[in-house]
Formats: sequence, C-alpha cells, structure tokens
Amino acid sequence: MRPILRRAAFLAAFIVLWGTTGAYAVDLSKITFNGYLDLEYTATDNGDNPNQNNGSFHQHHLSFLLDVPVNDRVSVYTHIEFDHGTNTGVKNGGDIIVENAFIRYTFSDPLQFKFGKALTPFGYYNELHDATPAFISVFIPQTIYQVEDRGGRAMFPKWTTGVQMLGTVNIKTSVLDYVIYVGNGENNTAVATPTNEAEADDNRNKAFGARVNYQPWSAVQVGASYFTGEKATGLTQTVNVPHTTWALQLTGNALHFNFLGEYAVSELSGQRDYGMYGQFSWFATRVLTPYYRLEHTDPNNNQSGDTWTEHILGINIKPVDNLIFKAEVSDNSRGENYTPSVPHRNFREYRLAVAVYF
Amino acid sequence: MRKIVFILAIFLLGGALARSASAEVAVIVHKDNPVKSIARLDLELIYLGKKKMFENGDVIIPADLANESAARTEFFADVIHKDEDSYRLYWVRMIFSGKGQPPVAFRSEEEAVRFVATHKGAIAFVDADKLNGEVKAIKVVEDE
Repeated sequence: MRPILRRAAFLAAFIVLWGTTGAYAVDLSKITFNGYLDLEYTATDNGDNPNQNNGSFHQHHLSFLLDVPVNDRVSVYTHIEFDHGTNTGVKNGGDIIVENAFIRYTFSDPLQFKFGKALTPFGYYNELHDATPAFISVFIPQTIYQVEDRGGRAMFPKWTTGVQMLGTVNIKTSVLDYVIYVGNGENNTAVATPTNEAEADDNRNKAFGARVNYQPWSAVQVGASYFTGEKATGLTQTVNVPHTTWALQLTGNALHFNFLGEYAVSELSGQRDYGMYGQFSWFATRVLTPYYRLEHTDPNNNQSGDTWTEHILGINIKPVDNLIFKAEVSDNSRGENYTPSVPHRNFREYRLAVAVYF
Repeated sequence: MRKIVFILAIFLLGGALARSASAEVAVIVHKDNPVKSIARLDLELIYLGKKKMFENGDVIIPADLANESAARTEFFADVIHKDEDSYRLYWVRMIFSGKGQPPVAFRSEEEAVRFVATHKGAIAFVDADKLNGEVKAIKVVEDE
C-alpha cells in the first residue's frame, strides 16, 4: 500500500473509531416512559344522536410518551397516540398520531426553546388535549377546544410545527410563565389534497402566538393566550384570510375548592365565534372529587339563535393511585337556529370513563 | 356541655402534640455548591419544575422523599403550598403536556442525603437529624 493510501486508511479508521466513542448513547436509566389509556361509555336520552345512538363504549386514547434527556440542557420529548382503538384495516379505523415531537433546549430559566411539532400552547387545556387522566371531566371544554363540534370553526390549530421560546420569570413574590411561538399554522383541509401541517405550510405567512400565565400568589393564576395566522378557506388555496383568536383564563383554589374559567373569541372571514366556561371542583377526599361545569358558546355572531349551553355535573373516583373513574351527566340546550350536526336541540348525555396513567 | 368541652380539649391537645412532633427540616445541597441560602419561592419553583438552574448556571436536580415523613409533610405545607393529591395532579399535567418530569423520589432520607452528596446540582430536604459532613445545609430565606 502506498504511504499516502496507508495514511488515508489510518485516518479513516481513526475517524470511525473516534465517532463511535464520541457519539455515546443516552443513559437508559435516565429515559422516562409514561403513558395513559382510557375507556369511555356515552349514551344519550333521545336515542338518535348519530354518535351515541346505541350507547357505545369507546376505547379513546392509548398514548406512549418518552422523555429522553440528551444532556443537562437538551432533551427530546415524544408522545405517540393510538386514537379510537386504532385499526388501520377498516374504514374510519382510528388514527396513529404524533401528538408531540420536539427538542427542548434550556438556556436558562427565563429562556428556553422547543423545536418541532407540539400541541399549540393555547389556553389552559390544549397542551393536555387528549390526556384524560390530567383533567377531571370526560372531555375538555368543547366551547373553546373543539367548537367545530358545536357548529363553529376551530379557534386555533390543535398543533403547531415550528419554534417556541418560553420561560419562567420571578417578579418579587409572583411568577410569570410565557411562551411565544412561530409555526406553520393551520392548513386548509377543504381542498382535494390537503397538505400535512407538520410537513409544509400552505401559505407564506407564518402563524404567531403567545401565552402568559401570571401567578400573583400560589392560589391564583391569571392567563391570556393569543393566536394569529392566515388560513385558506374554500376549495382553493389562493384565498387566505386572517384568523385571530384570544382567550383569558382564571384559576383559583382554596380549602380544597378549585375554580377554572376561560373566555375565548375567534375571528375568521368576518365571523366571530365566542366560547366560555366556568368549572368548580371540590377535592372532598383523596378518593372523591365532585365537579360542575357550565359551558356556553355562540359559534357564529352573524347568525342568531345558534348558541349552545351545557351543564355538566360529575364526579371523579380514585380508588387507588393512578386510576380514575369518571361519571357525569351533561345537559345540553341550544338556540332555535341550532346547527344540525347533532339532530336534537335539547338532549342529555350520560358519560362514564375510566383512565389509567403511568 | 361537659362532653363538648372534653372533645374540644382532646382536639386542642392532639393539635399541640402534632405540632410538637413536627420535624426541623434542613434543605441540603452538595458540599461544593457555592449556594448559601435560597428564597422560599425559588425552592417552591424548583419542586414545581419551573426553576431548573442555580445562579451559577449549574442544573438543579431536586430530590423528593417517597415516604410520608414528618420532614416531607412539613416541607410541603411550608414551601410547596400543595397537598399530596394536588401536587401529584400538578405533575401529571406537567408530564402529559411535555413540561418536564417530577423530582426523583427516594425511599429514605439517608438515600436522599447520599444522592445529594454524590451529585453536584442536587438539592433535597431532610430531617435536620440526618445531616452529615458530606452535604451542606443552606438557609431558606423569606421572599422579599
């Protein structure tokens, strides 16, 4: 072998060996694996709600989460969900969804970053969207987080793919959390071949958003969320219109009583959607937590009589750690010009659920 | 009437005994950690996953106790301002929203002390009786 080739071979071997020892694997004992699984049963009192006409069991969520610390300041967080008892062999056979897949980089407490796909940091609930063990009701408030099921349009995209800047700041004895983000926003799903929001934006204008939570003292927190972006509407992608949503939030707790309330307004194509709710819960014992929630939405300010009001009365039962049984009655009343996505103007729904987390 | 007075007396005596049984809690760090004191709010934020670094930039590794020791009861009432259930629910929300993992929990205070002695960024709370020369107790100062 000529000397120059020998030197090149030696150098190549050195690089390979150096590379294999330099890029060491993450310590497996530091990886955290979490998850949850739930089962719901829903029935209505009128018998012809198209979704619950027979009274149905619903294996709603099976989620696996990995939190991988790459080093002291960098970690990777992923959340894979099997939705609706996923069976890809049948039509409408559920979904497999990457709920979160992001890199977390902590520069300092007030300056941290997330890069990737994440549930949009909007309001109190969106980052917990499907994590049923993390909230007391069977569903999160649909008046804000799924208003498309109430005759409105989604107030903001469930996910954002892009960059988030976030952090925590102490102001004397109070605490301020913030997050600012830029991402692809929401794509038009009405077109023949919609694009994947996590892969490509369907317009040049990026979506922006921010959320702040201010905690003047431990028992109280006030928050505000804002989202703005452009969304193409109709069957073409050429007509982009601004979509802007803001929300206010208040939480408080005292003597085992908790209050949570939110109010949101969304504007798209000259139409405004309003949603609000107030929820009281009482940690009566370590096992029992009764709750009541009032939800109200006006899904289109240009149409009268399309409001939807829901009263939910329920209870959580935790017989052992990490296992929650939920039972609730939901009483629904709607305006005279209700959107017929659900056929009955007034109806009652009975919901049972069990959720386990680890 | 006499019965009511008797019951009240029992409750008051019980409360006094419970208070007298409370532990003197020491907050400890690695002996090479330059920190000498910590604000009560900072301590709360550390255990709520919102403060991750000491002032010198070292990453904080908080340690919790798995058992319901007197030190833990006292620490949670005094610093965290949450009962056990609220604290657990808080961390369930943090985990499932991708905001972090709860402090690692040790079965005994001795284990927590050993962990702090061997990890430069570690911080823990233990009964003051459990202190030894391998760790440093720091002062908890009131928030300004």
